[in-house]
Amino acid sequence: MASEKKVVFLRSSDGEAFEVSEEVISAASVTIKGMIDEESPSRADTAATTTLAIPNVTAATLSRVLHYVNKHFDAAAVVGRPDDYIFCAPGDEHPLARFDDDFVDVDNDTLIDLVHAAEYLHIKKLFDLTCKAVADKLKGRTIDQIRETFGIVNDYTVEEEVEVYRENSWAF
Amino acid sequence: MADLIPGLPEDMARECLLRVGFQHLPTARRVSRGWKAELESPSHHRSRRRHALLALAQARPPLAGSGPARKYAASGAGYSFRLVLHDPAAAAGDGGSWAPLPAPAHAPLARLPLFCQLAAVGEGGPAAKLLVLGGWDPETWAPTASVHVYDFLSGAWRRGADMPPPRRSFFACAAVGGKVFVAGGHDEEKNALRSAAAYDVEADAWTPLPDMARERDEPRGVCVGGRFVVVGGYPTVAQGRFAGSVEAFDPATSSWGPVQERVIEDGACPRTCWAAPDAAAAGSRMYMYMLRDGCVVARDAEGGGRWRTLACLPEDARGATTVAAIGDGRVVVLGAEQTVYVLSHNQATPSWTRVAAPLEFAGHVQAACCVQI
Repeated sequence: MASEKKVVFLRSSDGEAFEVSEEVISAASVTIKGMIDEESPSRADTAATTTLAIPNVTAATLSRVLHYVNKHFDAAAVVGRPDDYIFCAPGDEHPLARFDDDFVDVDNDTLIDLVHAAEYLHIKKLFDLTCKAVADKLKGRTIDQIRETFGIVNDYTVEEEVEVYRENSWAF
Repeated sequence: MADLIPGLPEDMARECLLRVGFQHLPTARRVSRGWKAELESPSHHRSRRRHALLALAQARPPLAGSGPARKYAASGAGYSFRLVLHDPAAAAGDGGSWAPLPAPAHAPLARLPLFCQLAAVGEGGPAAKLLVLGGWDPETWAPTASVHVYDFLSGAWRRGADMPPPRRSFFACAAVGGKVFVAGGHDEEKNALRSAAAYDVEADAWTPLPDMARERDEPRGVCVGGRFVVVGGYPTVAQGRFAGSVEAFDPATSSWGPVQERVIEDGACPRTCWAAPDAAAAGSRMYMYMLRDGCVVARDAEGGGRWRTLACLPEDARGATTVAAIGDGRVVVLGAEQTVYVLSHNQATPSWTRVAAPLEFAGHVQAACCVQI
């Protein structure tokens, strides 16, 4: 019964609270599961819902993370076990593959924030997804575009650059 | 040193760089000193997930006005080979699983030697390298002793030390550990050879090996259990009459083991033999595959050394010339017209997956090897 499901509130660094199913967020985030487990002895006696402070994550990022978590870790919403993802045969489209693609199709700052949040909340699948998305920013970009995308300063001397440049490059 | 990726702590940035596709590595290392240092570091390479690709020496697509007639007319002297990477695990249909590699910088006319051999080393090391050894000059058809080494990290070719004499053609070749072994073949007088040599890629140096017990022209070289295994071939006096015997060189003892008779059928050409990847060990004792009578057959490490049929080739794959095992019980069959078949046999009923190959990458595969990147 949905009404009996325990929920927790997550308070973002900028003070906004988000409601999420305790079961779903515990399955997703090792960090939050740890917080809930620590709280649970005192919670048993009271009916009050728990609010957990997430000081490192802003509301904008946290709402995105919870959107992901609800898609991927809510057993009722996911077709098949979420773990089936890894065992898909090559070429198979996982039902969430498109969701994932759209999820990380965001500007750079948002993406970097998501990497931080996934790391802090210890959501491995989201961490993998967002890191891969950062890596994929190299696709179809020239070296200068890559530097611009990430704000990396070219610290090669001209000589060094010529040296590294002399080598062929190729791409799929 | 500046941040690897501004806004991300070092450890997270490293995780991101680990996920950069190998095809972007040559570009990525040019971004900054920090990226280059990270991508070349041993810890980066230890953490990178291995990915099995096939390197192929493949005939170039026919030039303008392509069509069957033109294609067959182009055989012979007009044939030109290039190196192609194929990712059999990539999703079908997105056209992303084939990529031509640049030609070796020192190769005449930027063409691969005909009948050259391929080998890959450096798995789990700082960088994977692909080697092109020997073959015939595409213009003069003179056998060459040349060695070209491609570095996947830098995206660059270098010329390796030439193979020691005699100038051998159609030799066995396989990578074992960090070394590449060659054995047998024939010299410029078409004498079948017993001699063998090993190339240390890091040291760029050849070492002669003791002779094999038998002359073996057109043998096949594979790596099985850390040994260089030379399969079949024929002596000078028995041109084209292949023997089914095998001998194996053990680098640990620096010696050839006893000749094993009838490992493959006498008379069978060994060129489709392919060693099972070591990683496929779990639950599978397979150690060699080959094509025989239109079927993929496999030989177990134990069990009396019998070959058993895994599956027969689909009708339109009968012309296949290459089988390549890529681990997890998957065997890639190449050489059928514009089609790649992948056999999965780690299951109750072996099944085929069919992937169409773009015309550009449908040419004859003359040599292949597996590259772990």
